[in-house]
Amino acid sequence: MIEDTAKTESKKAAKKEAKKAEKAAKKAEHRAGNPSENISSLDEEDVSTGKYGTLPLIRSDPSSPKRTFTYLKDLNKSLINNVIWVRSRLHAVRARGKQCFIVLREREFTAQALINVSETVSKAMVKFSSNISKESIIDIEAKVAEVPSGVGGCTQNDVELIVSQIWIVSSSLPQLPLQIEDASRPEKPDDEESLKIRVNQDTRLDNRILDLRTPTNQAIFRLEAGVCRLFRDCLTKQGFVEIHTPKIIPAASEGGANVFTVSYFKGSAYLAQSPQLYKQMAIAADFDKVFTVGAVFRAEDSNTHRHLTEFTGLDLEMAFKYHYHEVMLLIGNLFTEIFKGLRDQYKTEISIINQQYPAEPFTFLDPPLVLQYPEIRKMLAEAGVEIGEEDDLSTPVEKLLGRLVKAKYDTDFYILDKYPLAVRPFYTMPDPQNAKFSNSYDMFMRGEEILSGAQRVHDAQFLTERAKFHGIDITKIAAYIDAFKYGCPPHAGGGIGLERVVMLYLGLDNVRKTSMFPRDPKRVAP
Amino acid sequence: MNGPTKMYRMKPIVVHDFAVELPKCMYRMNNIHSSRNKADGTEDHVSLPNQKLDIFDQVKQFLKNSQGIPGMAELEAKQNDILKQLEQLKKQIHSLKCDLNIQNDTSSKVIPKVAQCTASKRTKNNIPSTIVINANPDSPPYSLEILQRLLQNQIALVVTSYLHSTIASLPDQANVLKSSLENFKLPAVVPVVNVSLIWKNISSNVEFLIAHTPISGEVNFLRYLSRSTDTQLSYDSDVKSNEIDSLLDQCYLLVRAKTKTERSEILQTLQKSLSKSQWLAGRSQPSVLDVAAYSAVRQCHLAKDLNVGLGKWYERSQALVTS
Repeated sequence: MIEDTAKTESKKAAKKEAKKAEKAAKKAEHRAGNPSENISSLDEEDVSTGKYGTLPLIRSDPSSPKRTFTYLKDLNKSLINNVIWVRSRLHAVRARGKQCFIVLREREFTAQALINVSETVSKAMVKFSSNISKESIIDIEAKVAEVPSGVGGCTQNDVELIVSQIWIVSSSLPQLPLQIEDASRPEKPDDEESLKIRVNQDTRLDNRILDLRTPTNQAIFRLEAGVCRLFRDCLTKQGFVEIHTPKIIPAASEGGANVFTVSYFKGSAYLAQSPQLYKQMAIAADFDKVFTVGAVFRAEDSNTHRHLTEFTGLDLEMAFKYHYHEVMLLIGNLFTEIFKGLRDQYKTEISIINQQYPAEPFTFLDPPLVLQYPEIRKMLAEAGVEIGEEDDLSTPVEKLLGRLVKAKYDTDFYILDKYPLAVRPFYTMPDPQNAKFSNSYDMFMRGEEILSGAQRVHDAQFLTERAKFHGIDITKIAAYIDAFKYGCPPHAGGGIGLERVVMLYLGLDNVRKTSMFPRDPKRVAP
Repeated sequence: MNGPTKMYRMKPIVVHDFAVELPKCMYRMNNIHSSRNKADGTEDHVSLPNQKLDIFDQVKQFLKNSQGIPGMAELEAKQNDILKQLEQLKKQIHSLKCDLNIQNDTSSKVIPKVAQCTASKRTKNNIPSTIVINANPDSPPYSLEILQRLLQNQIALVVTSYLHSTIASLPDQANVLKSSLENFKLPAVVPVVNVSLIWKNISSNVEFLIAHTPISGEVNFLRYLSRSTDTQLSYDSDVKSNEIDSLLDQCYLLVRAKTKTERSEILQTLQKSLSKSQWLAGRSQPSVLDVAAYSAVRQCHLAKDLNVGLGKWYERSQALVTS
């Protein structure tokens, strides 16, 4: 029902827009036909000639005027009575008799502009303004005026702009595939009265450039950039070197089943599903501590809320002296640093995102909580879920565990140490004290695994032994084993998916919300 | 041993299950083999290869046929003998059982003592091996510091401290306590209790988790500890246990008190309880009450406002930490 009404409404709107467009086109024709006259030639006494219209295409003409523009976010009471230039998007327009209200938008900031018929502003100019299509980019010259009662629905609510000139820089098509208001409407499941019109995920992704204009998306991707920056900053501070690993690889690096094959001249090659081998080779080549940020490809045909076929991997690998906990705790502290940075530096972004997608704030402990596998088996057993000594955790069990840990320690982030050897890949170092366990760890955010890491076997002979034990064809991984033949320091590491971390930090329900142009089994465009 | 498959397969020599074409010129009779149920004795020795009698039927038939066989009476007598022997065996076993039961009864008199021993041992270890304590950094739980030292010969409180994301940084006073707790060397022999101390923005001063619902208040933690352990701290058997309980409440109120008059009133009640003895509630040994009161006074920075008697008591309490 709701969808239906939405459709008819949008149809009506579309018709209106079409009519408007027709009119505008006629006007444009008229103007083109009579270049000496301006558009409001019908009105003989147009006092606003030369103060509105469509700007010619900006092609970096040397004779273009030199103006200083003010950003909407800087609009405040200190600018009252100043005449300023503003370039921004037209978010909404509403004409009422001799007045025309325009809502300007610049990223998450909005301000109201007002065009009043007066001695310097003609009726034709007001009419022209009211016909500018939504999402067009406009230049405005205006005087800042105080609004004592405040402007409702705008972020800059203590002032408004009294327009004296208005020019279209780049106009939008009048028909929009999705309305920005709909795309940025808060999701409040318990609020009965709120409008239920939503833009579904596929429409959003098909028209991603429009969707990305919403304040929430602006904030999400700025926060994502923050995660990446904090990751780089923290590691660089600790002496890590950023390396770039090849994405076209000769052989499947891990399992082998879920790699993309690409044709490579006369043969074929694969897209890297993990930079792990190259990180390890960098360690064998004495880089000591390395990290890499880059695309990772997984040819898994799983259409879930948390799988993408291409995502950004943040990976690190580090040589240690005697115990892999040196590395594990460093990674744990890295996360704490990132979370602290986000909490302190991205407050506004987080609050904007929470307005649309409400979520409990992310909690963590400093130093991070480390739990041992036997310990969590006990916790789960108390909750009535029996896990075998050498069993892996299934996704629902992981979620349950997340809830248990949250209830006990009130933390959304924790490290789970000492996984059973049987559920880890062949290159994982076994625990020296108990053959059933391994020197490996997983890290969790809101009950979902985000990082899986371990001490790697750094001895070629032992590695061959382990591979044979797992029934892996030695010839296929010869290149991997060869990397350790000329001496290699003990090392450990791990990698995270940027999109997933951002999703879980913000408590979003879909990883596609945190990928700018997501790739999944059903989508390769845009 | 899968013989049949390995053996040479032969064609059946006599084929007996084909349809017999009966001549129609003769008088038609009922098939006698198909109506076994109505069969009388004469038919019984005609056993058909296709017929599968179950054992019960076979036995029945055998008994029917064997009536009047001479050996039968002897067999019956033999069986009766066996039954009698079985009866005797049963009686013997029963008497053996009875003997054992008596022995059980005698041993049960010993058991209570053993049970008591284990019970008293258990009370010492009644606390789970991990406890999570949430503390507000503005009023650090100094009681932990004293407990750690007082109980070091009974329970090793191994404290790991965490900073929750609701707190930006730890104030100095909390930091001092944290390092004091974490660096205290404990003897290795006593049972270990891992305490996760989480500095968190909470409304009360201390919260602790045993099961799923947090219990708030530092004094309530102390009450829990004294009840579930058997140390010098417990006051259940103390004649003044009521007084101790009400004074513990006063300590809780002291931390929450907002005005100076409120605080001085509580300090006065403490003073009355101390009177001229060494420790609060007129005891010669420190109790949970002293631990709670010390922590509350220190949290409120009231050490300077104490009168002479309480001041000396405060110094004695502090000495428990440093000694």
